Amino acid sequence: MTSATDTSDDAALAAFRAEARTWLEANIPDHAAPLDGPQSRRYVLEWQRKMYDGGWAGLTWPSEFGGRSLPVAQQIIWFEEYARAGAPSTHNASFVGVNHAGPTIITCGSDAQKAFHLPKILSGEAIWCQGFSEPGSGSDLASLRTQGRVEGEEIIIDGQKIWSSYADIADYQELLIRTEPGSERHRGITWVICPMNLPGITVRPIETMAGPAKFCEVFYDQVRLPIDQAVVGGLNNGWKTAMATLGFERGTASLALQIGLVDKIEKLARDCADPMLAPRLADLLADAAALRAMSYSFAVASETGTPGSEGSLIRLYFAELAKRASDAAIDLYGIGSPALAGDHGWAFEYLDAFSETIAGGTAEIQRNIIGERVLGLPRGKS
Amino acid sequence: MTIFRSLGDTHELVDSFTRPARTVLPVSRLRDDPNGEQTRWQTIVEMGWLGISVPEEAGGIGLSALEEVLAAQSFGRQLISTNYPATVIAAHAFHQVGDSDTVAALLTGGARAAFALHAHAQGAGGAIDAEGATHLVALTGEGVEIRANGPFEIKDDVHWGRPVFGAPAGEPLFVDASPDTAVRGRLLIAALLAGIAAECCERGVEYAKVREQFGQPIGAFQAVKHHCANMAIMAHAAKELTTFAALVFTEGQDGAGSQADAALNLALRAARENAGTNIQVHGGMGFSAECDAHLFLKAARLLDAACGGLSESRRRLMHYS
Repeated sequence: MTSATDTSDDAALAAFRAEARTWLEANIPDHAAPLDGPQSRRYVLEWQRKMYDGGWAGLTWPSEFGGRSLPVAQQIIWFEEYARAGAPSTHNASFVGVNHAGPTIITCGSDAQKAFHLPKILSGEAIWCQGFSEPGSGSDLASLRTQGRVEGEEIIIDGQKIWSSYADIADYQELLIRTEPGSERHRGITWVICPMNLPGITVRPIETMAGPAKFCEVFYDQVRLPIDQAVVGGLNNGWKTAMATLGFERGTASLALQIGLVDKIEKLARDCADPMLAPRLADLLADAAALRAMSYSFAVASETGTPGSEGSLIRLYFAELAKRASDAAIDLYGIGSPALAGDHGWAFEYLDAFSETIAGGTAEIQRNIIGERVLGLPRGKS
Repeated sequence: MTIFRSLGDTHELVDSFTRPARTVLPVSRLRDDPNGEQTRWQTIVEMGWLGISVPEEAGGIGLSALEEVLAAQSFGRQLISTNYPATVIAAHAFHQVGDSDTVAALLTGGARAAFALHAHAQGAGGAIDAEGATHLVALTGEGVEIRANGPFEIKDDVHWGRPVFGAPAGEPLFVDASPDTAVRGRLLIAALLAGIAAECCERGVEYAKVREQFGQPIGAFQAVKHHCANMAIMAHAAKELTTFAALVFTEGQDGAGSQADAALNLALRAARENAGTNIQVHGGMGFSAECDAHLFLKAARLLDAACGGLSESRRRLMHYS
């Protein structure tokens, strides 16, 4: 039986935990993260740089690309301590770079792309955003139409993307375009790196129902990209490359968020003095415990192979639990309570949680995926 | 609390001795021969399933609560008699008080325990599967209470698939107030319920693949597919949390009690929800007594009654936080 908790390992893990705790206590920012705009960019880059300098950036990345290739036990301990210390949410402007674009370039990028982009992501020099969804291509991503015309050594892009979080403050975008004329569905799509400062790019931030204007529309008017620098994973092979990205999203990337939610629910339960709310909080506690058990077990399984399909179960479980927890928090504290106020108070959490069952695949699409890919149920006639 | 390890080898070991359960305890037995559970008890004794976590010096196999919980997930799928968890818990309680003769009798079939139903706020109480049992096990706020069995009369042998008896008289023989035995008991019941949740999910999904309406398998319709996805989520959550809680307990980590309560709370919900959804997915057949679907719902409800159900688990969870 392999065990991460053999006595010999225990001391090393305890030492690692102490090291992480000490560093976090000394280094977490003294003010909470701004939610959008240039101030959010500065904050996120500074925090990323601090973690990089302290040796805490890219814990899940291979060491040859500047990461630490930590075993999963240490990753979990780091994220436990990260949540415990109240460190800035990992669901910020650095998320796409660290958890999507970076890992995709590691998996599918050229040596030059790796050498140029990976250090910038880890050390807090560049912010990335995602350009996948379009006004006509939400849940049905494969219907995307943003055009990339290949002309010699260049691709010329025309079209529009939407729901691109932090596009207004990003340096680069992971962008899906249709490069094969007349192609349909998953064929003929290319995954490109698009610098956001190019001529022809217009970004319009969209205010969310929770307040911040963190996601954006992006318009492309004859934007020219050099093929050798931009294309990742091969021309017209973008769907495969994108799936690699989504695979990371469903892997261990969300551990910090999952552990953070467990901590929040445990605090809600401690604060609950209302006997009418207690049964709800009790069930939430049990659900939080289940989320932790599933996440750890999945992380351990991912260490020895590619993440399994149960990742989609955990993702949906997390999304719906986040909504129910913040719903209970509003009932528990009440509108007007200090616990609801502020950038990261429960009012924001509650409103923002409505995105959890929409962004990155709606709960309905997730259930289709679980039904078809995990349980093997047939697709409906269309 | 952090605990994580790969359980591949443990699963293999447990599978090796639980594999016969599917053959010797097919769920259909409860329709074909509902009165045969007493004679089938000897099989459970001979398989050694009662002593998985009982120390070797007391006549058991001497494995941990983790192996027991993994095994019980398999037994839960087969709707093993409620005498199984009751007898295992009784064996641990008698071991705690040093009564090795009774432990030996429980493991070898000379004695057998049944559950006293959790004393309810409405004052009902009672016992299940008590026929032929020598002892009753009550899971109370104080710990595990052991009573001598009966005699008392059958109150309901229509609704729950198993006979339900009236409240027994008499004083308890003793109360095992050690936290360990109570936590083991909750883990064991949670594991059986997690097994029920998993089996209901599998049966619902299999039916949705073969039952056709409107020219296609009903599982192709999103309304049914999403029912199946919901069952898969609940089954996975119950399995992982029950296993995790057993790991925390086995490794002597902090929080074993609250993890076991969380596991029981979640497994109680998973079992009753999945049992209900499985009936729904089976449609008219699901409502028929000729289909096994109803047996899972009834079994889930009886285990629920034995441990105090959601109310009790919620009370304990909120006490911990």
